[in-house]
Amino acid sequence: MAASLYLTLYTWNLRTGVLDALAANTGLEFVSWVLRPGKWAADKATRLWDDYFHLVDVQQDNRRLAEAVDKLSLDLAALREEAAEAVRLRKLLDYAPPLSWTVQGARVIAHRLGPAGALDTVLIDKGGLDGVDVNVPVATPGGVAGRVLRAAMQASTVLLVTDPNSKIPVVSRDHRTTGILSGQGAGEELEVRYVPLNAPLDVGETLVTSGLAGIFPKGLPVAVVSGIERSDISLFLTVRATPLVDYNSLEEVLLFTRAPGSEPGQDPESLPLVPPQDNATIPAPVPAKPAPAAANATAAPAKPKPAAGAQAPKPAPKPASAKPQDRPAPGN
Amino acid sequence: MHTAHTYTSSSRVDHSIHPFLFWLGFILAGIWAQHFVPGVDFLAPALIVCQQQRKVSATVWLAAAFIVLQEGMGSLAFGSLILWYAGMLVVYQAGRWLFESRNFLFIFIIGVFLGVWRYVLVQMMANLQNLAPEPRRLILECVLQAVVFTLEWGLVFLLYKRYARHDDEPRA
Repeated sequence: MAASLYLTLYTWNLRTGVLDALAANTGLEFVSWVLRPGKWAADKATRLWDDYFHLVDVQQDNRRLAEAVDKLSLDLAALREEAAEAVRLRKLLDYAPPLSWTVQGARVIAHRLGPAGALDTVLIDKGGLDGVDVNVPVATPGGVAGRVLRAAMQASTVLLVTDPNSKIPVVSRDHRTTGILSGQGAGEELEVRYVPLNAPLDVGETLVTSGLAGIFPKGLPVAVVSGIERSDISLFLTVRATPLVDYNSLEEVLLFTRAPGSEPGQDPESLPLVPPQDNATIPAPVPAKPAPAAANATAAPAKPKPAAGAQAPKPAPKPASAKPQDRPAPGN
Repeated sequence: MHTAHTYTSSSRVDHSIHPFLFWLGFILAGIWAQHFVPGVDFLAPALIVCQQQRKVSATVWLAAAFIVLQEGMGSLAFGSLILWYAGMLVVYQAGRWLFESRNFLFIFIIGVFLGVWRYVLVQMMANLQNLAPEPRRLILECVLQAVVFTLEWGLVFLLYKRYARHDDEPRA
């Protein structure tokens, strides 16, 4: 009797997610409120300590930063020119306008908690009231951190890239080789699956999100290829990658939510990583390295129409036959 | 709501507090402990202490609160924590036929059971949801769970006896 009642409850929740939402909006919310003050106090104390020691080298830092600003200003001017050119070319090709994403910052409150914390996750202080929902991409200025697995009102659980259940469609920045990036556990290297044996790929090449599943914006850096092995018995290369983010010391993250009016999966266009600007809406500009238009053809509904006389874009390497698993785990 | 009051029979000050406040403080401390030791349940010993004190209603509401809290902060679908606490209470009730309920060996056996039970539950629930937990980390956390449960029970039992207000003397 009790067993059948339990099974009914369990399967009903798997189908509807009602109890998960209830637990998130009560339990997770309560936990976030318990941890928040302590975390705030610890951050303040750490910052005070750091500021004191940083004052010692502040002049040297100022000089170094001023030089960096000069260099970045030059880079910015050059990139602005390229961005303007890309907009003109896009218009020329009648290309669909890119999606707009809203970027907001969030603070990491805790890592995995409790006996049901079987997955590699972190708890952040933004939730449904801030527009955060399941599958919202999470990144840092260094690279992708993961995606939201469960959202309460003012807190969310983020599944990290290192978890074996995290699967992200990626493309190599230089050779445009596609694959599925999968975690191997905390502290371990990542694995890129379904990379064909003859695919061009170099060690040291940066892997960025391909935007194929319509969850992550295209062009966010995720990892760097650290090893490539050719197997005699497999149709695919064995590719290892090092994550760009130190997941053990995550303190602040960026959340990418879609701006109102943009539908998921419509057009996962390029988006460079930018710092948070108090919920600023960022029209996705040009990526650091422009991708061939067809690289995202499977996900973009609007096909680029080549202008008269223009050469058709070269088709990108076919993505892996495996379907990217970007949906959350059942019930989550 | 602090309840420092004096005994009429002596001049000693009673520092005992209402059990609700005691358990609320325990939950807050438990959440912080779980923050520092991921994957380990620091709340479970409270249910055993309540059972040993024959506090049925406290056991029920504490179990309900723990289930909601742990499910909320976890990453599996709702349901595993019901089996987790139910398994622990069943083993406790069954073990009372053989052991004295406050026997340290008995508590250690419950801790070992929890370690094994956690491995079985996480593997089972993860399989049902098509997930893959990390086996090495899971085994380490199971061992930690067994040790932490036993030691924490001793601490909570002493603190409860010392600081929670008792209207009636508990029976063994």
